[in-house]
Amino acid sequence: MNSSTPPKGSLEELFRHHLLESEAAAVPPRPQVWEQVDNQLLLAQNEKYRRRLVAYRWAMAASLLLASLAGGGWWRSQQGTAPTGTLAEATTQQGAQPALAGASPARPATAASGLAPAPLSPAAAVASATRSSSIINPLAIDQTATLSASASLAGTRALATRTSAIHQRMGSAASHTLAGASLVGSSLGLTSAPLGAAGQAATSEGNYYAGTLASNPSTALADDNQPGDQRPATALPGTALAVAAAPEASPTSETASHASRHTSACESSLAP
Amino acid sequence: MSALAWPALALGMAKPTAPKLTASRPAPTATLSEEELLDGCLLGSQAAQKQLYERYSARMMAVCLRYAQTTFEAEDVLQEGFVTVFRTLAGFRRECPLEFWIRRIMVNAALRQHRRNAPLVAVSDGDYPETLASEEFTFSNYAYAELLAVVQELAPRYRLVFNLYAIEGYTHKEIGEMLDISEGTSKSQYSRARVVLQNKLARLQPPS
Repeated sequence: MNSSTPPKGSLEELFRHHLLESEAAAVPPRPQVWEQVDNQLLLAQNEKYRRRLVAYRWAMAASLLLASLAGGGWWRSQQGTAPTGTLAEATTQQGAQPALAGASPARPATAASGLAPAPLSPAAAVASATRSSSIINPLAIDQTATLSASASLAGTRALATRTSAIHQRMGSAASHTLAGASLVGSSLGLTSAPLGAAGQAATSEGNYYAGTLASNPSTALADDNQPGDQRPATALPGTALAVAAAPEASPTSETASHASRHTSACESSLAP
Repeated sequence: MSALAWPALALGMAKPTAPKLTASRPAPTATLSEEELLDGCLLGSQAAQKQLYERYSARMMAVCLRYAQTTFEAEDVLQEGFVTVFRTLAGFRRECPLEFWIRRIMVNAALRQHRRNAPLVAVSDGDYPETLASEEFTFSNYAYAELLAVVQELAPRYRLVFNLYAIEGYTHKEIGEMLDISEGTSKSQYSRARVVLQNKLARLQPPS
């Protein structure tokens, strides 16, 4: 006790003075505390490694699964593109289909083109697009409209309506020619149903149909699936309506029907 | 354990030694500076971790003793606090002193343990005055152990509020947020704790 200058203070100062300043001289904890701390740190480290291992396992399993799926898909696609599959073959039926109703007898020529559904391999779904190339006499034909596209794959129904009118003036003859232009898929945005890649893939086939159309100037509106369902072709200049109704194919069937209707209206040329 | 030790064990001539869980970790070596300690702890070095523990464990034990009622409880708080320190050391920005940061972690560990053991019960602000007449105490009349015992005898909620306000320097608003009580409740509990401490100190060292 130093009675000369005894430090004094409030209750808070008393406790702060003793408790804070005595912290450095406090008794250290027992050594077991550090062992327990170290043990907990080791357990935490092991837990971290275990979680990382689990994550690696999941990542490895997912990678193997993806690789096997990709390999299986590739193998399946390789099997699907084998030459065993047959593309649809269009059969031109000339005269077999009933005559197009509503076709004016005054019309000089009508073309009939029928497409029969043919079995398709799944990987070779083909949507046919009909292209009417204009091998048309410019003096005799004023308009040619063709149309046609329909794509159906595995039981889907595609409705394609396309109107095409191409006026072709032939120099000094001053004749108007509407040549049916070949429009493939949605290239010109005239299709009411998107054809997509299948429709575009059928360009070459559509050329074949167009050639058929040009070489057979008889109008026919044929529904391949329902031969009785014939609708008159409206002779709108430069307009063609093609409706393709694909049959509801079973999921396992490899048929992707495609039908196209061609309407060709040829009118006399306009003499200048 | 080597194969040669098994016969001695079978004859009772030797005692089996428990396998050390920390055998796979490197042993502590030289004394490191604080920055080296921090870097070593971040790399997972056991030597750095042990040196950090030995450097601050005594002071942090004193902190834990103020918040705990017994030494064992304080050691539990210390253990939990140091595990938290080593786990969250990557988040230490080195802008404040390391000791201050560790002290905060110890206080939070004490609060967590108090919530687990004895949930805080809000009490009415009641009949106790918020301020008491200041009374002067002669510091030399009291020893550290006596004051620590007086604090540990307080009720848990009084002890918490008194430590946080009088020793650590938190405001009543901060204490209310930390303990999830109102500011008035913190004030009233501090007043009660102060009255209890004054009475105990009076009995401990009667004024001459």
